[in-house]
Amino acid sequence: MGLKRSGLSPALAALTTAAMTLPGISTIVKAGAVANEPKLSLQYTRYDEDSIPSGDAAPEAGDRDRYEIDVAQIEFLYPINGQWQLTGGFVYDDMSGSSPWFVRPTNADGTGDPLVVMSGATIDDTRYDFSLKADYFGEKFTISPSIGYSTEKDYKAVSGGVEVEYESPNKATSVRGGVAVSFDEIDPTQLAGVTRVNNEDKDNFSIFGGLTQVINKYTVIQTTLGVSHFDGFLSDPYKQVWVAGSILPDSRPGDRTQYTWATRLRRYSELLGSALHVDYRFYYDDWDVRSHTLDLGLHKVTESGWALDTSIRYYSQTQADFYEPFYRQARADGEYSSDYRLSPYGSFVFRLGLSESIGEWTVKVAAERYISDKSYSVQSVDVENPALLDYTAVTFGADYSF
Amino acid sequence: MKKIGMVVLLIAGNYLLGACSSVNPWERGILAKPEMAWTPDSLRWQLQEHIYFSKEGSSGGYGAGGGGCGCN
Repeated sequence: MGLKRSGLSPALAALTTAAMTLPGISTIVKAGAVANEPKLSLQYTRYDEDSIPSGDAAPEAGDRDRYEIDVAQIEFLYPINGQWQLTGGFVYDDMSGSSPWFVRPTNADGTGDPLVVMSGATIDDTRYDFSLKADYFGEKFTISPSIGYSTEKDYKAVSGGVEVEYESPNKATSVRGGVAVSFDEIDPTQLAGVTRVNNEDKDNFSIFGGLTQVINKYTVIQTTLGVSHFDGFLSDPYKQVWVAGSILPDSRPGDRTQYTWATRLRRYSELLGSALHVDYRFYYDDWDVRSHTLDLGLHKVTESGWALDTSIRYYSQTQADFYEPFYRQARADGEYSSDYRLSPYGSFVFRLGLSESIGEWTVKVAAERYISDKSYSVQSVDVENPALLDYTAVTFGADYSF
Repeated sequence: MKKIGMVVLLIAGNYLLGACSSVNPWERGILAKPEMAWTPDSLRWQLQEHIYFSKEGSSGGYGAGGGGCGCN
């Protein structure tokens, strides 16, 4: 179909070579190439969870106001030479608010609707997250090692990983894979009268492999398979459960293996002058949680420097096999959790982002609304967890290229 | 039956790869447009993924890496 290289005129051959060397073109199927110049990115986000509705809260629920988090992010990209670049990242979270503590039935005999009891006093915490990534761009391979460290009052995580990407000679296909580890340590804040663990830890090992393929001059697709294994203390030390009238600690199995298959498609429409983004992920784990995530978006960049992106994300998950909103009788295996995150539900996210590039600066604003409900689930759900989450996030940011 | 499946897969794979090789470098300008990037904004995407990781029962899919947090 295409012209043979041997048949190209010298001018066209030169143009082809030039096109191949442009970072965006020669590496369209790769994660990227060495940046042309250093870039500093700053971002501030206000994350605000809706309060628990009064009808879903027990009379003794405490403060129904959930988390409000201020998030500051800084990222600095520095190209060292034609083959190496470094990316340093920092995230600061300042959070306050209450969190769902446990769920109890309306009546002491275990009948009636589930009602949520909140953590009581407002929780204040800060999180600092540091990350450093290097990218080496070889002739055919890109190798990207990374390390990270996250710390907050009661939690520390050290992580590291490496990703490798191979680009085929025709630059239409790339194969990538990677491994990562994380070592997390939790030391919960103790509360008088409540039984909580001390100094627990968990480890994580993840591996993934994937393929990126240029389909035609308008379409590129990427598909990735991943496995992630967690081992150690996987319960939530701040959550409890109602079991036949007694309040017991949240208690989950000591290991969990997760499997994912994710596919992303980008298709440019000349008619709309925009790119259609389609992402789908299937997830399954050995706690019997299965989920489907479908993300549809449209991204437009104008010649005058304005960019607009809008997207809608649909998510639906099944419950963990040991999950119940509350337990009328004790379980033989001693595994309990009433965490809304392990309950069956569905959710929608609506997003809008706008940016404008002026000289070396790009200024950005974005908003996101997340709503969840049992009726959004793919499967029919009998009893909704009363602590399901709704939130709004508003983001302001700026990039500066040196 | 298994052999037929393998043959179909090979033909489909060959067709897909053959079709792709026909996209010449000078025809890839559209693929290089910023709106064709996997994520419209890297920092925003990182935060979104962190929120979903913290607040939903499933996570991961597009790579590996990163530690957990005490988010509840």
